[in-house]
Amino acid sequence: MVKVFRKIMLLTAFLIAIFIFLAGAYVGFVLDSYRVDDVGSSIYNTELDAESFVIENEFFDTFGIIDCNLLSRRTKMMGDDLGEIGRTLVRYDNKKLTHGEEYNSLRRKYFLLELKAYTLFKQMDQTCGVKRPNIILFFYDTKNNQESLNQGYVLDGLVGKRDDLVVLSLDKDFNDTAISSLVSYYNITIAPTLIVNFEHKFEGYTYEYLIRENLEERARSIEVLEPTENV
Amino acid sequence: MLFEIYIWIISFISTFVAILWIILNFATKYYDKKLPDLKTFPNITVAVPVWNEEKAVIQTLKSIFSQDYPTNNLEVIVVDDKSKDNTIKVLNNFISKSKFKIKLIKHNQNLGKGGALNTALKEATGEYFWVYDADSVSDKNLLKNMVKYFYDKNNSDVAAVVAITLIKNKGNFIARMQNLEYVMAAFVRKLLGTADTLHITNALSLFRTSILKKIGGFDVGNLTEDFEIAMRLRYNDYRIVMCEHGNFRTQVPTKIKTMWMQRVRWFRGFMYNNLKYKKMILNKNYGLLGMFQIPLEVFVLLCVFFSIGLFGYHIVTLFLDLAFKIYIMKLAFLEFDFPTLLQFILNLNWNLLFPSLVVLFLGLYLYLAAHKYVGEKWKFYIPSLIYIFIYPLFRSMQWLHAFILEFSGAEKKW
Repeated sequence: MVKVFRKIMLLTAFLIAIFIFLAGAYVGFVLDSYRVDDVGSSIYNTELDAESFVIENEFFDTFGIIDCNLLSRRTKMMGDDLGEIGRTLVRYDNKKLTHGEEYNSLRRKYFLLELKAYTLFKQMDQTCGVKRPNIILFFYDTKNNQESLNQGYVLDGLVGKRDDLVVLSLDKDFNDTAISSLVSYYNITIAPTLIVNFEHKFEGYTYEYLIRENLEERARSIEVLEPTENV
Repeated sequence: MLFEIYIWIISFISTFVAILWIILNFATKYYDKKLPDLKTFPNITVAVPVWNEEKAVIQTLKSIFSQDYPTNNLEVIVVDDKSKDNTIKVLNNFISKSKFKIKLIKHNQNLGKGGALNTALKEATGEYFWVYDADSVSDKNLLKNMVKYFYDKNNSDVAAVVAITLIKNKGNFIARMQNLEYVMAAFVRKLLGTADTLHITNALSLFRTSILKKIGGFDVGNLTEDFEIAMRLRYNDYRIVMCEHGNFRTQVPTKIKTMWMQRVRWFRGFMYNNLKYKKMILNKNYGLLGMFQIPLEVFVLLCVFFSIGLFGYHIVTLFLDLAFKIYIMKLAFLEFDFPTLLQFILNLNWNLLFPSLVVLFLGLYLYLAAHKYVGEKWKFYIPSLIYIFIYPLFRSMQWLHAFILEFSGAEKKW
């Protein structure tokens, strides 16, 4: 076969391969847009839920109603929604090819929403005391994060087993002043770190039984405080 | 991330090669395949090396003499490489009754196939030297067509013509899987022939006797003497072409262990001979063969080893991760909501999936084209699935086994 022809064949094959890969990059770009939209819309819905939660609280405050069971259910639902968004965000973030800034912005929005939820839960803690779900604030890191990953599995397992638990996860190194404030408030230096029910701090990887013990201790204290009360 | 970049590189090269093959396949359709007519036929020496072939050797000889070629122009030399069975007895019996010219030479010690072929080469008087493995049968018109390639005006520098190899014993599952491999190999060799980068001969190759003698015959003790002689011919600037008119069928292993050891031997031979002729790698004097084909094969080999390490690491990590998840989460691990179609699509890692799918589809096209080329009916059955999706894993392990044996200095045996 003529040498020139062979060179043309090689060049043609190379160009077609490049074209196919550009097409692949385009598919990746389009899917990334969809992913950003998907998470964006979930965050938007949860933001609305949070707003609704705030308005409901204000309404109850104004009219002097305290329905801790309802608030507790709302807290749990919001926590579950946030957990689902977090998992989706991690999944999508791992697969992204483009839209890095949008993903970063979504993560920021998500963390801020978690902080908002955390603040709401804290307010509820002051209003309802023990009649609210358990809240765990989970600080993780994204570098050398095997322990954080494992801690995540432990918490996922616990959430799966208990209806009275909400986990909010935060990247301790995320560049946002609100997150930095929380990190400095709790003096978070290592990841993973857990803050259970606003006060108990567990640094480093924490075994499931230790968390469970802590949660059960609180449950026992609830029984001691209000053994037969129904709201 | 490293893993993704690696997959992208591999996928890009695979896509590039697959497209190149598709282009070559189309190009061959416009390539003049008309063979010259021969008024007189040259003398051919047929070399049949045998070792413990009492069951197959007579069928082999019958296949040779059933060729549509003047038998007066055929000189058959059977070299027995110190068989332990009744090969000699069976041969003597056949020769005593045969009307054809058959010379039987017995080795006093086993020298391997290369040694047996050299013995035949010393005695050869034919202009061309046809290596004919004892477990093969060929189409009747094969020899005539193979010879014609030497008389093509563009083929004065051709030293060897190789035939399409298919398998004889398709009854067994393992053999059927190898059939797919042989079909693909035949197709790829045709494409390499079209691009003038063919650098392998096989169990039924026709050589110019003078050139074989000039370059010193076959390499005794080489695990893949057919590959070595091809590399040496190319090293000495001779060409090898593929005969696309007719094929032959060979017996393949039907047990996993035998097949495994055969492949390991081939792969050891590949490594040894590539190192032996390393001067050809990235050498402009060898054109596309030196600058593209051999470097590509060496690169693919390196990728096989790298892949074993990388995939091994990933599989172990995934397994540990999964085990940890199950241990921690227990049944909660199984609790998940079924995603919608959009979520399912968005959850897939298209960065890896897209190039892999492209390669898969191009591969399937080539797979179909290969079957069409050799005239075999294509069926999508279990051996096909295993060959496409599972066999590459075994192949990687065979490469690893061959690598360990070759570089630990293990004894070279058949």
